[in-house]
Amino acid sequence: MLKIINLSKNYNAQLILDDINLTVQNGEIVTIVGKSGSGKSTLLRIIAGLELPMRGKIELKNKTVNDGNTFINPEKRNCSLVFQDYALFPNLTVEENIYLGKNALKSDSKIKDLINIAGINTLLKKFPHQCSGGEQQRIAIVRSIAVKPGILLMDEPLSNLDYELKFSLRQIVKKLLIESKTTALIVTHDIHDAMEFSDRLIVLEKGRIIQEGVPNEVFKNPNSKQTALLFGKANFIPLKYLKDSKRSFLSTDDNIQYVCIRPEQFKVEGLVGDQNKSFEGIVKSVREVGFNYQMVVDWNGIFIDVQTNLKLKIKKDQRIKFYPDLDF
Amino acid sequence: MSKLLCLLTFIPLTLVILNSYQYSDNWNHIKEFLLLKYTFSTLILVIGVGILSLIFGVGTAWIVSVYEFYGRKIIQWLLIIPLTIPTYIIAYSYYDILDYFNPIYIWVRENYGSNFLILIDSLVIYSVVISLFTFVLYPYIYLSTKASLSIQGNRLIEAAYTLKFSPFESFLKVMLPVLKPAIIAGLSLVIMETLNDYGAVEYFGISTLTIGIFRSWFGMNDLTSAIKISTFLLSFVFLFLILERMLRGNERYHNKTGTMYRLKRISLSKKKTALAWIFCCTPIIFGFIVPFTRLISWALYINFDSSNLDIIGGTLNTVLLSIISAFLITSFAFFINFIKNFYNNQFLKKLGFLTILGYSMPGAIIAIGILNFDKLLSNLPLITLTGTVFGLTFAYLIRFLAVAWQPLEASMEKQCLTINQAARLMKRRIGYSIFKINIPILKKPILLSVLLVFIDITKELPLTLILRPFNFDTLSTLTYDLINQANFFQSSLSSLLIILISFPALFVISKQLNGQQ
Amino acid sequence: MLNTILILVLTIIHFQNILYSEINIYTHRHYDSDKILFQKFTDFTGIDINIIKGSADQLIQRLENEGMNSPADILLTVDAGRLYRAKNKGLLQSISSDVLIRNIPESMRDKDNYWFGLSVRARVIVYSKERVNNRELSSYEDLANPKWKGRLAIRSSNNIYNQSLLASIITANGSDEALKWVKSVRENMARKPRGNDRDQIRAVASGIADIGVVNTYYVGLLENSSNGNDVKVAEKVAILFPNQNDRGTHINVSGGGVTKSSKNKSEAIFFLEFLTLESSQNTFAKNNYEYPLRLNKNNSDLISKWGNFKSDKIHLSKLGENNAEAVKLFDKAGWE
Repeated sequence: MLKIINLSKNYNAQLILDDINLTVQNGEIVTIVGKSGSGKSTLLRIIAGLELPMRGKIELKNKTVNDGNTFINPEKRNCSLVFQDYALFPNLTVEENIYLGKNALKSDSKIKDLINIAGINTLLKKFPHQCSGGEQQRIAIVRSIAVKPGILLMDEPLSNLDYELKFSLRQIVKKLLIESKTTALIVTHDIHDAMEFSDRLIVLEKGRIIQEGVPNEVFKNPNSKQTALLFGKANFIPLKYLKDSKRSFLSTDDNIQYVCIRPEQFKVEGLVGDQNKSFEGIVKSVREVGFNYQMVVDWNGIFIDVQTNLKLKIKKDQRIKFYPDLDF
Repeated sequence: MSKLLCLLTFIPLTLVILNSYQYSDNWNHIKEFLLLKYTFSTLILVIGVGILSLIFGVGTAWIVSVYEFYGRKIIQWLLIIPLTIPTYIIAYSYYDILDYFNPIYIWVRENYGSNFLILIDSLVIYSVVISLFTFVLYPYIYLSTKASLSIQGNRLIEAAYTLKFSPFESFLKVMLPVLKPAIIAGLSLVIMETLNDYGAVEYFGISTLTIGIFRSWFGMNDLTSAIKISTFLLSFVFLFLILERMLRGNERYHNKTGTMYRLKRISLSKKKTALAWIFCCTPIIFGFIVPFTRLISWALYINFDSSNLDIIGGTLNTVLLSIISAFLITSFAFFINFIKNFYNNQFLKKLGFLTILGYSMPGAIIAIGILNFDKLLSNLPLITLTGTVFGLTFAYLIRFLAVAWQPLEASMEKQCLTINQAARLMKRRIGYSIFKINIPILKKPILLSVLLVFIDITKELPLTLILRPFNFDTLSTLTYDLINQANFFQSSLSSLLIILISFPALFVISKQLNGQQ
Repeated sequence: MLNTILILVLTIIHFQNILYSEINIYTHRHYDSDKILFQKFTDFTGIDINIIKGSADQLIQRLENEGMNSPADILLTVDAGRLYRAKNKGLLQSISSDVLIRNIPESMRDKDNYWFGLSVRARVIVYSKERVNNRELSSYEDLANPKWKGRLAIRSSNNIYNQSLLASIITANGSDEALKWVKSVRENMARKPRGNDRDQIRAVASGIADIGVVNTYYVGLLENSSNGNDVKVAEKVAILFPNQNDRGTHINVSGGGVTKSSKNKSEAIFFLEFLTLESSQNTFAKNNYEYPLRLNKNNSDLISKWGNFKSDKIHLSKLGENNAEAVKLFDKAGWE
């Protein structure tokens, strides 16, 4: 469906996208994750034809839309874009916004279905500014799907919303995409969005693709500290201390093989434990969060984030034994 | 206190309107023979200038914002320049334009008779005057449309593209309605300026309501009728303003501050570049280059002697008066807006709408108001409004408050409202809020206000003419004197200076506006 | 020389009041001739002159609003009608001056000595030397003849010169006749009325019209213009003084009066007297192609070339009296 070959982009002297290669299959939902400033929004805008790349080639449906010689105007590309700020037309009602697209026909019952799935059927006669943020977001997505794009591009679709709303919207967005059998490329900085939506995950860091794969695999097998940290708190312990670990990666920063261990992967045994595989350390700080303790433990000068349930009473400066559960 | 200050600016206009209820014996005559005719000519002129200015103002703004072509940057800046030329100057710089129609006229008369010629003549005159007005007034629409495009338009244009609209379609079908509020705001300035003109329509013999005001005032020696006509004119303006508010309605767009991407301009082919050039350069050539070069060629005829010394004083007066008044007026607008904002004053909020009244009144009527006000004050010692710079500045305040008000109100509302409320909660003094918060944040709109008022005062004629002190000439009064003597060569110098003085101000304005992208 | 002596004499007469002094003038005149005369007056007398230029109407309005607080001493206008109006509004005062009465013909000054004419302009017919024979017409009344249909150039009725001309016709022939005249003249116009008197001359020269109505000094200004085209235009037209066989050509004056609020009355009178001196009168004629108060006594070559003429002797206050009526007649005839 979409094929990007050797794409680069710079602003002034700064390289925003560095030699990107990327393919999206028909019907696939792919998420690009990265911190802000990693160049992910720019990548979407280049695909949509709203910006020019420095070099590289873009193919949509086996047709070159952008390379050194060709540039197909955005309106002639078979893709549509959901903007981060929705870009709803303030002067049009919700309904007019949705049916604004050229091939979004009123007679099309599929669009009505989408409206129902999105739960915006009661808003049709309102103006965008009379709708809440979550509603505007759903309107914008329905509007973009209604034109039946070959590929739907979404820029930070849920970033402006609060936690509760996000949770329910993720389900709706996924449903919308699947119902309409839309191929989609989604950009987000929220890994949970990515885990929920996507068939495949691409990690972008400083303009480069550093990892790609099925979301859960990437979660379990990060190939860099940056990737690992996208998913939340992580401890990086050199492989030499955990010889039997099946997963490890080579950090390019210091050329050391590390194992990534999440705080919740640790088992705390209290004061006694298996000498062979246990670490022993001093609790530097401890705090109750919900049903768990979250603590920082000093293990031979390395500070490790550890999480455990409230069974054991743990105090600051206490010496404890703990070990990583590497079984899965 | 601030309410009192505000009301002060409305007193002169109120006096004028109150006076319009007096009896006048000429009113029946005016109603019978003139009012319909004057209204008709005014409507034709306003509608004609309105439509043509819309075409050029919106068209050029769209072209330079959305397309990329050779010379776009320079054209984008040149398009503002005709704003420096007042209507009376463009009219006289084309004083002999109708002579070029003479051969056609003679041909028409020989073949179709003189009655038909009169018809053709009217047609030609209206087209010429409408075009001339358009070529110096369209920048008001150009500026407001362009600003709106760069602030909220970019993202919406992109959205239209992704919804499969070609650039041209997205302009016609999608963006025009979005830009409507900005376009109408610019259009209302164009209409006010058209209504306010006396010199150009007088010269070309178009009997507008403004002509009617002067004709009853001076020809019939009947100020009351003149005021009645201006109240009539004012009711039109009022109607238009209310209509405008209704049209704008609830279409205010709440701008989310996200990352602003620069719109990728679409490159034009050679053929289309040529078309863009022709379209954009038409108003630049006829609204600026032709009059400017003519003025220069006339200035070359001037014999410089001691009699030209007037112009040095005139220039100094113009610059000083314009700068001082611009600062005072902007400070006034700023202060009132600040108080309104800081104390969330409902009374002052409603006032913004009324400030535009001063802008829509013919200058001469404001002068009458000031004269009336002065009479009222004459019992108080020390305060004289006529014939003092103070009075003149006060008159400018009434006339141009709206010009300073609009950009300040909008940006203060947008950028300072919550900050001011926070400052108030932190029990900060007003002075701190003004100098440490509002002024630094609003630097740009303040500058914009000062410059816009500056340009307007530099061009202003009727108020200055009626209210100025002894031996006090500005460039515009000098120009007027010389045009009155039909001494075009001499007048060209002061006209050129008016244009040149406004140049730097305009340059800064355009930089600001382009910087917003 | 004689003039110098005269000025000295005047200075001595008024000496008692001239210790420090200045006069403030509101003037509608904006001519180089005035600049020269003001300077000369100050040089001779030490009296400073402050001026505000503006249209007479606006200046009158201003005087009216300023009332007795007005700083103005003198009001100068370019037509008698406005002076008449200023008098009626009580803005001027009566003054006694033998010099003014001696130098100004009776019809050109107010009978109660409120205002005085200072220079004269005649409103004449210009015609194309090529296409019109000067025997074809001889009076303003002839302009109404249908044979001129589509051949006449004349400016808008907003203009005071046309209003005064019609006022004089109302005085001579009565309102009803005057209305008929306005209607017929309007029918004869070659084009919609517009522009100034110069433009009417250019219209005749270019062939759009065959005859036009203008003030004489516009022809003078064109003939002496530094622009070659203007001179060519002036060459193509000739001047005809209308109504030489009956009441005479319509004339108007540019004149002035001392304001009621004047605080420098004697200096103001002195100034008006100064303007009626022969040397000042010659300056008007030479620099501005206006006629001096004694119409046929001037030293300007150009004006002499146009020849002597008989002027309408009606008292010029009639122009003021009939001004509003004239405007209404124009409206009724639809003359814009």
